[in-house]
Amino acid sequence: MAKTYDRIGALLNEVGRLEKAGGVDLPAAISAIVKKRLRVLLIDQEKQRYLSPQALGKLLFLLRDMKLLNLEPSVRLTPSGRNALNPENYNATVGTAALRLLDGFEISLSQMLDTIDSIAAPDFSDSTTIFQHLQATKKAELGFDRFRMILFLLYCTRRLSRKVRVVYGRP
Amino acid sequence: MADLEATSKAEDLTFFFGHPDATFDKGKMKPFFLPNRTLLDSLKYGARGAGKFIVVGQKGSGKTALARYLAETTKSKLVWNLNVREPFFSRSVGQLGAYESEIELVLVNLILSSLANLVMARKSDFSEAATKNLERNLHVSLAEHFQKVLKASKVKTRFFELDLDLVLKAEKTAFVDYGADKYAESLGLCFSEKPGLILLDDIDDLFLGAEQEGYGRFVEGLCRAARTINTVFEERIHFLIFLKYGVFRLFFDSPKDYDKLRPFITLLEWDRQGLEDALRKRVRTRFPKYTGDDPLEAVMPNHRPEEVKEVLDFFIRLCAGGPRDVIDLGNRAIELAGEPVLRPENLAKAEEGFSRERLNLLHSEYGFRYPRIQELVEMCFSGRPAEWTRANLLKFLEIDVLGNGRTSRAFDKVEYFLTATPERLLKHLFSVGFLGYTVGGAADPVFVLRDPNGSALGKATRFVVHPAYRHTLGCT
Repeated sequence: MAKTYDRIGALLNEVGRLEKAGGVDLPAAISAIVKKRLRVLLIDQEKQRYLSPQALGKLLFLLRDMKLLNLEPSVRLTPSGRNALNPENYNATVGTAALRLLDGFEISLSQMLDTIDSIAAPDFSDSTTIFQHLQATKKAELGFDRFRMILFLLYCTRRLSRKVRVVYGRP
Repeated sequence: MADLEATSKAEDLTFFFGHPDATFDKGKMKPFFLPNRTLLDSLKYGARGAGKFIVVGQKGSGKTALARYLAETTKSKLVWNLNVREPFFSRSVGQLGAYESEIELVLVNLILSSLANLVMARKSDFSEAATKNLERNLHVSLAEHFQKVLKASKVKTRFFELDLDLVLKAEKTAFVDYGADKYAESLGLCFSEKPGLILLDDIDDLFLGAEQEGYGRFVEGLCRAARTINTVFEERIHFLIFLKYGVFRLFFDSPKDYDKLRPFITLLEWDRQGLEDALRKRVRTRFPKYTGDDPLEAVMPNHRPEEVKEVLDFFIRLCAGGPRDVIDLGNRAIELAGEPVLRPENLAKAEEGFSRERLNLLHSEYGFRYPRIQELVEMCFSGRPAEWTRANLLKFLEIDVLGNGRTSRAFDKVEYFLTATPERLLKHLFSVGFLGYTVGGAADPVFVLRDPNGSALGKATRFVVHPAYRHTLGCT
């Protein structure tokens, strides 16, 4: 099953193509991407169900907030987003963008690592427990869903030098 | 030029302005060293019972020279240079205690009991009453206490012996009941006529482990020990600590009780006038018969005043830490000339080697706080601009540094890199003195020593690579 990490890469590539073709606004971009029925957006292989346009929109908003995309007036890559198209730079760019997003909510990676280190048995360091233990005044503004996604991205881009119990990803 | 004959030997030319490291400067410091009067007046030494006793400065800012100057010029009963030649203290700091308060107590006891032994070793310099009191009261009480709680001490002839290995293994709570006040009467008596002066320079050479986590805690414990000793003994014992800026930052970046130590800390800084005067003083010692107004004329014969000013501008512009840079650059130019004459073209040639070594110093100054920092700036800033707008610099750090796969892989075990956003990395580069900033239309960039917190970094509009690093990095 594809994960947010892979979907971000695929979406950046698609936006790059749309941009080359002249650029489109957000609804048109979502519709164009949905129509392509990208394998990476498949959520149920048996039933051939794909990520809904709403869920796709949510992901695009996340990429905007990570400063990888601009959504207005047309959907286009930022210099960072373009940099991430190079597979060699993908992890470095997405990891940095994730950290920047957290920074906007006054959460640093060191704080996250300290939090993970502070979790002891019988608790274990899954995203819910980490979020609960995290001492950050603005964490509610970030929200748990986004926190979980960012945590996962940091793990995938090798920024999170800690073991985290993976209970991410929905079926 | 008859006065110059003595300086024309090759070795004299190599160190024409003195040795860049004051540790190796031969002879007395006083003729060479130009103390900053304001700084001296703020320090706790001589007859002063209070003052600052933690001196912080970048590498080459004159900490060792100042320590040597104080040792030479202060009327003291005993001067103890606590340095790397004291193997008793040469320990990994992790063994000294887990908390600042433990480290403080252990160090207070180790330092004061060693000082008592030093007094006994130089018994003839002290009054009989004082040394007898030390032997009969302090040593006995020390031995009794530490024998009881640690089984780690004895009095051998007239010296008190503490088994350091046992001390390091012991529960540090054993030191709680034995504080500086227990030494006050006996040791204080020894220094009632003239003070004792303890100088601790290059602490990371003596107390090992600066590259390990927890060294900041040790530095704080050490500073607290100095505060305790200085407070208890007032004008009788002065304990001065000289901290490299990089070591100080280990404590400054995550202090437990910085506010309580801040009043005792002073920064060793140099302004343009101070550096010029330091250079002139050194030239004057080389040309004792020179009677003109500006000793620099002696090393720049036949130069017009504006040319002398140009040379001074060059020196000051490249100076990143303090007098050592000026001395080093001057020595290189004189050596290239083969005679004691400063020529602008030789200074320009000297910049190459100077700039390379200055970059290497980044590692020795900040390597424990920022591992491989020198490698990082070399990898990222070689051939890049020397001046940046905020937007351009942040974009560069975001895309070409943090977003670069090759760089990222090269530093994937380096915590400050791994956890950095472009803004944080900018702050790190400012903290090591590599980048400076200007706000609005200000001409002179601010570097870390003028703004240790980087308090105006957020408002900065322009950033510059320090001129000392530009040549070797090929910054344009």
